[in-house]
Amino acid sequence: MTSDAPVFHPGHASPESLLRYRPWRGSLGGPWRGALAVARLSLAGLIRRKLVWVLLAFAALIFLSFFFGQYLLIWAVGQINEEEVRVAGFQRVNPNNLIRDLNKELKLNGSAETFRNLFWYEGSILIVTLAFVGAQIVGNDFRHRSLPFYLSKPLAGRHYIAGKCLAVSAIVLAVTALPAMILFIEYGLLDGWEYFWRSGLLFFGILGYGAVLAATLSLLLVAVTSTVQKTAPLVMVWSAIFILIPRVAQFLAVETASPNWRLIDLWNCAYVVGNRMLGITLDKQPSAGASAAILIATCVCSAVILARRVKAVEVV
Amino acid sequence: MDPALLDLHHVSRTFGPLTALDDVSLNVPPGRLGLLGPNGAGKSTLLKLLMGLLPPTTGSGTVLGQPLGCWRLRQMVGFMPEADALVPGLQGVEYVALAGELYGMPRSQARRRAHEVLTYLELEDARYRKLEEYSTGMKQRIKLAQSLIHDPPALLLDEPTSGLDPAGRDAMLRLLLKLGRDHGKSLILCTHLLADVEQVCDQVVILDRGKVCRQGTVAELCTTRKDRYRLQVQGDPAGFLVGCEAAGVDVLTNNGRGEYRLTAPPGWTPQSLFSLADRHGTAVRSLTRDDETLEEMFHRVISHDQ
Repeated sequence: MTSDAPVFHPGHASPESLLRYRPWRGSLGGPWRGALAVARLSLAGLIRRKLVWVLLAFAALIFLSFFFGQYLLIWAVGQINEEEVRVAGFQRVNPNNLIRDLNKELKLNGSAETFRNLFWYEGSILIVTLAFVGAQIVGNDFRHRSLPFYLSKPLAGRHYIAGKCLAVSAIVLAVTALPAMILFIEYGLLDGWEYFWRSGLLFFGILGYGAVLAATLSLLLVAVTSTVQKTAPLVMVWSAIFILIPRVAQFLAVETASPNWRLIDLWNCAYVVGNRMLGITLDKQPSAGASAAILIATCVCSAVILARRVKAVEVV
Repeated sequence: MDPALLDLHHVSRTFGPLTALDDVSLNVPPGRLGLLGPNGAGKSTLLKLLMGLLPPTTGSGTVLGQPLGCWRLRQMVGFMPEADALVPGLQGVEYVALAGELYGMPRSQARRRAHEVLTYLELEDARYRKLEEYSTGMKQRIKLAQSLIHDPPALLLDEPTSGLDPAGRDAMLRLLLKLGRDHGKSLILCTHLLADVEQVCDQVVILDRGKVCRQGTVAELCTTRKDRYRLQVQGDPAGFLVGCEAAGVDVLTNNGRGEYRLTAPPGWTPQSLFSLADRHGTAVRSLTRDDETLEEMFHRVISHDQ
């Protein structure tokens, strides 16, 4: 950019020239490049934690049980004329019973319920994961006063927040939507190409459900951890939001016979909206519109809290 | 022609009823600028304006040709904060490379440049150590490294020698001087240590209660005193001191080892002091003019304005 100091030629470096200041000539990108760096750094910080790998291993187990469950169903359909088949080399079962269990009970049949159930189970692991790693993503920046480092660069508060939310969204999508998409493709490949045409909308439903979870959970987590910056208090707040309040909501909904009480349960709101996106209509639940409104309000409140918290940081 | 380092026209910034900056107009060419002022003078607000973190309430201006309030200012200016502002868990080289990416550098170039800058600042042996393990001096240098990573034309340094021992402070100041003088970097040095400004900067701006009190070169602002001397004598000074008092010479400081700072009466010349010492049987070993220091000038300006 400036200076008339000699340009460095890597092949001809001497110890003396290494200690000389060398100019850098290149073009600088905009602040969104910085936001990507913030997201990458946050993710890199997370994958260094062993706890994250343990929780992701649980999530992978759930995914694999769905994956092989679907495979087993398609395989059992191929064995329908047999009286008995051997499963896993030791268990003898009637293929009709196996199909009934996998299809009707476990719903491992590539239907909307399959993906709804996967989202539910994976979501439970996800909530635990976020409770334990949230402080690492954002809280540390507030606690260790790293935020002025970011904000003294061309990034504005919104770029920093976007970077952090992107990191959380990447985890959310990796644990929920990505396995669901793999299951969708697996079932299509096993069942036949017409599955993709028949259930094409399901793919967009999966993406939509994933997007709802990613947007809500990332903004909520980043907002909460900007205020509650240590792991132990974060786990308590997170437990209140995703365990205590849902219990209270369920109790009130049953006692008053009004499903609208369940609107105070964010996880249920996401579940209702996600089901609608997958094309499933639920009984005894608040409307998808009201649930979506609650989720949007949560996102807006989180964004406002975050903007205020970041704006209050003194860079100089 | 290079754009001015600072070109501000009637810039004011208010926070509710409080006026932090009041009609500030400055035109400073590229160079090494010291920004001085007592607490509450408006230095931090001015720094925020210069970094594009705050827009001015009224007035306009540019920093190196970029208008105030623009995020691009933070690409033109490398900022070295006073506070640690480190990211725990990162190695030195990761931290500096991250700064490069945040400034907008491509990742591979930021990584390569981080190694270069750390080598230049003699931190190459510590580049793979975690930031938490750095000493205060190393932290100061790595903060300078992160501000230099994208080779900006100007550096904004907030208390760069804070917490350093005398040797570390001297090394940091020599480094800054070298960056400014030999590598063409403009420096804006904001510090309470006036000796640092005196050693590094060629221009000074003094702020007080949101206004610019003085602006100019250090030599211009510090009064050339023709009546003040630094004197070193040999022999018993008792008689000499009595003679000084009788002749109206004001002894400002006496370190007890034969070194004095004196203010001579009007009309006195160095020869008069030599004669006085001679009359009292004292030998003068050295006699130099004692011009006003930046610190004295600063106190004079601030107390005069109050």
